[in-house]
Amino acid sequence: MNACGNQGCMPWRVKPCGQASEPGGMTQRSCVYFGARYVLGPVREAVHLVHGPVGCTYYGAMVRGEARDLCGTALTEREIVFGGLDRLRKALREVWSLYPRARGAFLYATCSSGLIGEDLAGLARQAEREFGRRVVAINCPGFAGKSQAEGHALAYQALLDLVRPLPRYRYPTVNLVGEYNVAGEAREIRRLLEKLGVRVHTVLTGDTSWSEIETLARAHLNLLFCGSTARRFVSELRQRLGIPYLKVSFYGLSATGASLRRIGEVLGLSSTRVEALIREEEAGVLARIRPWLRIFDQRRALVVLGAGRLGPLSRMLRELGFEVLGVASVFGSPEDHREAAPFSDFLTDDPGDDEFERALAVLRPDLVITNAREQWRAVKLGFPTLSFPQERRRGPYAGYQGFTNFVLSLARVLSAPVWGLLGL
Amino acid sequence: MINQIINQVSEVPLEGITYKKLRPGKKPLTPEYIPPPPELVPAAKRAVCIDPSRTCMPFGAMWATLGVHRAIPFVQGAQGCTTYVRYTFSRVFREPASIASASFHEDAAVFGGRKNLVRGIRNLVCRYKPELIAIVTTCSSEVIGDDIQSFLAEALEMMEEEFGPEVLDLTRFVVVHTPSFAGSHVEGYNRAAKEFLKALSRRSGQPSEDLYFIPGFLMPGDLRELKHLLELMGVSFHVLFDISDTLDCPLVGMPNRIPYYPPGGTRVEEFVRAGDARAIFALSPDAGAAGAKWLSRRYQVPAFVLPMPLGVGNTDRLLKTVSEISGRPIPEAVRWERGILLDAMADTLHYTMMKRVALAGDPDFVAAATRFVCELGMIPTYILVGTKSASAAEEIWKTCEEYNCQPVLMNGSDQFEWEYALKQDPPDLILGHSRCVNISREIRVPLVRFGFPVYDRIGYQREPIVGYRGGERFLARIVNAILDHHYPDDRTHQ
Repeated sequence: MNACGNQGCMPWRVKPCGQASEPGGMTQRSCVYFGARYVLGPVREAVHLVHGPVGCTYYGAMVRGEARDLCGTALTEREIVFGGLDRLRKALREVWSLYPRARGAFLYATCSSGLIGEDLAGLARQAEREFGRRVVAINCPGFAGKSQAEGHALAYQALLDLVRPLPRYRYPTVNLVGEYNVAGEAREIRRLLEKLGVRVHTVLTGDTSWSEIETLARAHLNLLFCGSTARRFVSELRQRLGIPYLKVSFYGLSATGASLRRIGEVLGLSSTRVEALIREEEAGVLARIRPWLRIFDQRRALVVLGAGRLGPLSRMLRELGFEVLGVASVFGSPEDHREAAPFSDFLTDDPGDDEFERALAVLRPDLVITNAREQWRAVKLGFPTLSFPQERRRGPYAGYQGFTNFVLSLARVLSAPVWGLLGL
Repeated sequence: MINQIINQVSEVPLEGITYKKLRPGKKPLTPEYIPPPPELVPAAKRAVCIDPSRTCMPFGAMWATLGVHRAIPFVQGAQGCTTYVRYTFSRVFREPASIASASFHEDAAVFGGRKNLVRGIRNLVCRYKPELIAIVTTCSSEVIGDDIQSFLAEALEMMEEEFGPEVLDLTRFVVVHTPSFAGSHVEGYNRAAKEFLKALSRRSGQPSEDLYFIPGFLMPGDLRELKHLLELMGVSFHVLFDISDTLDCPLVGMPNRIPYYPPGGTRVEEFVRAGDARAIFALSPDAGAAGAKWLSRRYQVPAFVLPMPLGVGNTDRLLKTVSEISGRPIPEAVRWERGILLDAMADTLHYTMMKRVALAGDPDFVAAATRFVCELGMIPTYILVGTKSASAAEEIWKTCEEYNCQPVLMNGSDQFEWEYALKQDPPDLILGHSRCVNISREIRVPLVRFGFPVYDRIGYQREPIVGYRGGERFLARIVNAILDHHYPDDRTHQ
């Protein structure tokens, strides 16, 4: 039985990113439909209609731990055999009076509708003519890609079609793109930008609506937060409508400061104003986090997260005095891996549950940072664990206030007495 | 002046100022609320389903599998079918749940899932060494028409070639067909119960005195309470799909062997010996009865399909049946627990009597809870049965006839219809799962959480609601919700 799975003392087989998951390897990756919901879930003023069996509607209503409006056609055996387009057509007729404020509809395909070959795009065009409102079909059957990343791309592609060319605002305005407003992070970023006199038009897709997406071209600059989900979207916008974009990160003091300075440069803000803000905010944060820094020094962390957060998070940990033992993405892109590479010797993609456990056993980290599904495995094996996306009550982790929250969360996890009570 | 003001103050009634009186304008909803057209309210008249109270069939089969010792569900479908479910388990139980995926990609959709299953089974067996693998199909593999049995035979053949014939003794296999478009998670559990017994159970010819139980979606705390009752009865028993020590386990630190498996779960041998059982009980008519009935047809084991033992009458019924079949009298200790529940009911009748209550959830939970609230003197108003069920409807109507009430039963409907009814005619209390929070907040009616899923409160999976002691805890939960809500000022409580 040594033919498989024996990797000596390496925590995990180092896999390059972009490969399909091995069946039966217990991957944490999800499906294309999941990715599409992840991006489009929070969009307001839209009907979200799933063409598939009831399960996809049930699960898809929960996006990053928050309930979102979602309805579905709840296909039964009958429609699978005889086709479900009639039901979908009827559903599309009904939704406008059930969601009277909707400006348009997103139509999601699922495995079932994809396999029986339903032509959602054709129906969407038909419905647009009939009801005079936009219907955007997203061809996202679960199997249509290696992971949720393909779903993110499809969702942004759908959003791209909504954007109309418009004249710019007169005052400096930005869009936050690839910012998902986890636990109110967009609010903190908005606060900092507004202190510099920069307005935020919309937050894609953490806090946005159909009409805000349509008028997105009124902003002067797109700030790109999560490169792995939204880079194509912003570069397309630059090509089509001439809106420049800037890759920024608000995770950690140095990254936030650097991002604010770059934004100031691009928008032509007074540098004294930017520096004053950074100085003032940093002083506040440092005063609040100083008592905790002692417990972070030389602690060793293991990071297993989706994709875009790896690099920024590793940098944040390094800033606080942690040593990053290993980094694994679930569906990382080469860009994410390049960002994370300087921080860790062990870098891999898509670890299975056994590889995750082996990494815990071999590396014995003092802190594990992982996603909401896998956190309980690390906790069960007795490792202090912090999960992402964080629950709302832990507060945002982005920006200066967010950094304080992050430090407090880490301090809570690491100094919890429970880890000291393990032996009897 | 002072006199005038004093005269304007209305008299404070003896029982204090209730919440209703504190909030004169009750029915705020949201100012921009636009009611839906009435013809689209009933789910049966709509093509669109809004907020379903049921999930997909594979989920039920995975739930059942996770109740078996060292068993892993292998989901023959796309990765989301696994990830969404793992997410649900981790939210409800706060425990790791090992579920493997066949990782369907486009090639599987075109060429079928043969390669995925053959490679997946091999990987799973040599990387995780499970004692049992349940192959759970999904919408996609069923639409494609995967021939799971022949794929499995091929996988075994290839493993035998690679690792030698002893590899075949390591792992047992069960195949459960669960296309989500053919039913909900309740049906998925039902099918899994049948398939597990079909694949594993044998008859040795030496009949035993063991009683077998298929619990349905009971939580770990409920299962422990059930075992406690059966221990008091002094019968020997086996609980199949016993999640109590797989999805609620102690934190012990790094185990000696990885991959980590939880210590508990029903052993495969227990399934094997089910053919010799004295009797088999399905405690959820919609989730598990198929297994009990199959065993009775195949091996003539007497099968009893009973309502979930929630409340006095339902628990009485279970214990009387167990007592009859095992020939053991109901012991004093059980009568004592029953007495305590009755005492609690009598103590709190002023809070519960004639309170109007709306219920929502899975059929077995809702049917049993309807009887319990009727026993408490409450009046069920709107009952949402998330998965359409004839047996639940029959049980509910029987209960309502006994207790003389006429609720509106929404069988297999969605939450939209039920919530609309609640907005028009708010009850005093809602009994439902965590997804009823929105309506509870909107119409300002307290919610007592029970059933599946409860993920926004801590410890509900450990606190029993079945049996007499569980009934007492459930009653306390109900009364405390009423107290917290209608009598917010504790000083007015006599």
